[in-house]
Amino acid sequence: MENTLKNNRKRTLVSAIVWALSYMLFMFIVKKFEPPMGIGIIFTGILSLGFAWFLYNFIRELAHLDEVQRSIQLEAMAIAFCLSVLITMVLGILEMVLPLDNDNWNLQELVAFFFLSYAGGLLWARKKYA
Amino acid sequence: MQAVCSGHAKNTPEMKNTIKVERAKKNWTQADLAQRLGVSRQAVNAVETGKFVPSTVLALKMALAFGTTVDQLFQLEDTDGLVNV
Repeated sequence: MENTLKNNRKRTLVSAIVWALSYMLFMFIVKKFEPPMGIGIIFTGILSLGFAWFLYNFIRELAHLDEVQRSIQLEAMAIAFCLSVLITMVLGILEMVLPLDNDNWNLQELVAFFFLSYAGGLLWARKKYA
Repeated sequence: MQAVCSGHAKNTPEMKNTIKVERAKKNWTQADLAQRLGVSRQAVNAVETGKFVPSTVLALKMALAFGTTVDQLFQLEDTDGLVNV
């Protein structure tokens, strides 16, 4: 069981790193070379497939966790979801009432925040059950 | 009456247990017990310290591992206000 869990965790981690690197590479290419729309759509499709691969591995990992570890993941997800709703809501409302500079921030940067809020939730939940 | 839910964590446990005593009798570490139960050491620690109330299945597995019963291994902290039906 321990080995299966370790293998699944490794697979999830590898897929997350591959996806994150390809996401950053894609962002760099778009900003630097401004590719045509067709290429951009293809890249987006590839990124989505990469994320689906990560999601598949993540769900497989969850299936092998024990009940405490599942509780930790559940709480981390709940915190991440609430924080993500909060930031999206705040930015959405702010955008309506004051002009936000889209050169300095945009929707893509929210992706990093979603992952950060999950990491924060995970740390909090792990500490709670430690 | 407070409900005892599986997975519910509190700072003050509503359920006490004798896992540490039973482990000492068998001379098992938390890791030993975790391996026998097929769960993580973190899970054993969380249950033992009362931070996590285990599911019925895990409680039964623990009792079986120690050769005891669930009600000997786990007891309610406070039974005031509970009514026998």
